[in-house]
Amino acid sequence: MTNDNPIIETSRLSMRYEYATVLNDISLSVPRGAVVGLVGRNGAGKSTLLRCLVGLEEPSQGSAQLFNCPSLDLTDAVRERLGYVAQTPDLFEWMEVTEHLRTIGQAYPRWNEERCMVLAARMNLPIGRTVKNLSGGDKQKLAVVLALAHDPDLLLLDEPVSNLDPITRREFMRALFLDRASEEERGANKERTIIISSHLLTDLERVVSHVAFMRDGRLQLFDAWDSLLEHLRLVPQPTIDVPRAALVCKNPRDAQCVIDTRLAPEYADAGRILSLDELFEELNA
Amino acid sequence: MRSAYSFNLESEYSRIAMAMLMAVLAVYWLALLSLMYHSEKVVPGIKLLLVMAAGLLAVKGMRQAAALATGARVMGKMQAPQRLRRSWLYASLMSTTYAWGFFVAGGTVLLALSQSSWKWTMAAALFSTILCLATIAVLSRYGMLHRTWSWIISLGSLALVVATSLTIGISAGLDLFGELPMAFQLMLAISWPLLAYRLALNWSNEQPIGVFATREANDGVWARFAGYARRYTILQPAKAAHSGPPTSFQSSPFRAFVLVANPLCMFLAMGQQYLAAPWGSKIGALHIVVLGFVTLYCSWSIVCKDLHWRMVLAPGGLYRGKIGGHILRSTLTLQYTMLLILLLICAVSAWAAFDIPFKRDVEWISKFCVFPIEMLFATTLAVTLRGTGLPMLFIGLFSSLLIICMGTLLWMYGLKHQPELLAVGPTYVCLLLSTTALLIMLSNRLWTIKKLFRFRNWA
Repeated sequence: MTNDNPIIETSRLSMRYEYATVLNDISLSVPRGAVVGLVGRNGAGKSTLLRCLVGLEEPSQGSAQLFNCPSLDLTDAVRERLGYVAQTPDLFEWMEVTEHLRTIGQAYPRWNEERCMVLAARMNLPIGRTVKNLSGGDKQKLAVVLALAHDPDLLLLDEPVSNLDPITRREFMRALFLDRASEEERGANKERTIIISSHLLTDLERVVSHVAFMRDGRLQLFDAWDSLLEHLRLVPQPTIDVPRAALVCKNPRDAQCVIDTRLAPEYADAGRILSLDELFEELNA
Repeated sequence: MRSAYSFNLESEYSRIAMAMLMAVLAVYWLALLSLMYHSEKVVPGIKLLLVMAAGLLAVKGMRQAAALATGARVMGKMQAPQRLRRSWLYASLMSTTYAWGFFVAGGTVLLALSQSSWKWTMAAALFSTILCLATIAVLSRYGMLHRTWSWIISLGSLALVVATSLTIGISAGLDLFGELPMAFQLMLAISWPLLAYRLALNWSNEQPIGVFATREANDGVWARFAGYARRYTILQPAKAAHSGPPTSFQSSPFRAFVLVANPLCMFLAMGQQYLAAPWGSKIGALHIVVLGFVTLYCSWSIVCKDLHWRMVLAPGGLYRGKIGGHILRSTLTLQYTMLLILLLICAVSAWAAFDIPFKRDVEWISKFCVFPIEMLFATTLAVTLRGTGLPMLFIGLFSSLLIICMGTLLWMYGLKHQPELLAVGPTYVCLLLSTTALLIMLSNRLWTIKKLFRFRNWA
């Protein structure tokens, strides 16, 4: 596999239930080493997309691949390189935390007990307790440690920090990237690819390399965050015609719009740069 | 089948409890084996051992099936390597099969050496049948098999047990099973190994998808039933002392209903002899003592509907002065419902299996004409006593007192010559109702929000 091969690829992915279309024609290609922030309002389809990506849901149409392997038929070689944290963690309630970590860890060749315990300590996880006696936040931490302890090449995280306090959240973000940095230092060419769905946009803004915005089951916008910062501008509703393709979104209430200056260079110096928070609001206005 | 990894498929407590119970049965087995050469009267003991072993194996099978389903769900949701899930599957099935083998060997040896009318293949047939039913019921409840199986097995087993106990008796029913043709028993005997092999084969390569849906079944009639049952919180005495976060115990509506059904099954089982009180007859002291036992069972399984902080904050919600009545209404709703369901199942299955006409059911029920009022009284007493806030102490003292009273009465008068105390008539009914009214008022004073919230079902 070359470096250019996307780690995650979906083609016209759709998911329909009797009452609604949850995913609508999503084609996505995530390059190796990307840290993708998956954002959207509640019910936009983020969790369903992640579940389809890891093969926990069968799409009504289209397909998804991880490491060139169909999501619905992941091989053990791919599973060993994958870490996934579901929105509501499912755990063995009767086990102690250390026992739980070892039970799952023994299947992963790259699982390292020392590394796992360091991670648990860094996240302040009470390892001596039985899982059923953990608080909601601690269960979330355990799910995160389980996903990270085997040093996966691909991490899919569905609102992993929603129950965590700010200090643990910071430690979690560090844990994601400290290990990645150490891999790069060793020149192992094993950049970790991450998709993280979260509503904590200020946290995301600091770490993402790409952002994917979802709305009503559709992929509204997907690009490198640096590129969006450089080229998107929030401008007052233009009086002259803007090329339709350059108009990312219009907010009639505030008479403002977001313009992609790559397609409308005349607006390069107009308006202002948007934060992730602002872009999210404009896209969902 | 082999397991490449090591797993703890159940909690330390469960493992120790199971090992201890198996050790007790092993000692009992050795005792029977040694007595066999000196006495021919060991046959009832062997039958009792097989029944106890079947019960224990059913529990083991259910726990292992639940562990199997939980493993499939947890590992599946993490997309952990398939070999881990496979190993878990094998470990779970092997653990059950070892226990099955242990019991089959022990039971078969005893039956082969004894003068019992039961064939030597009976132990294997009984254990395999029980294990298959328990495993299929639990797996289907977790969505690993079609969910209808859970209903069919649960209701079918209940109907069979109730109908057998009320017609020919459990012992005679087991005799019928033990005397089935050997070829048929052998077919039943191999049902567990075949099922285990089939499950291992089916799920070794393919992940059971149904298990991801929810923790337990969530469709159709079951969803409505489970949703309704979840509104009831069991006010277990032991739970009150629990200071940690709420456990998953209350989340299982199945257990909740089993707990409530427990005293009702007791009523029916005991009813034939002790609780029958036709209008105009006289009841003895033993009847009162048995009512005491009913109260004891009720006190273990009283429930509160919609126990949630919203109920306290909502206008017209729970407040001191009406909590006792609310608990009573909640408990009685479940108890009367379960009683009616049990009676219906019992009548239909007795008619279907043993051709007993409904007229005889009506005659039988007429013996218990005041039982609903006695149940109201017993439940109210249970709610009131629990309201005192000393449940464990009460249960210990109360049960000791009842056992002493029962023992004394049986020792002094025997079963059939109990002294008559009260006539079943308007006076008795008025006495029960007026005492119940007083108890309701007292329980309303005793129960407080603070006491109730120790059983809260939210984080």
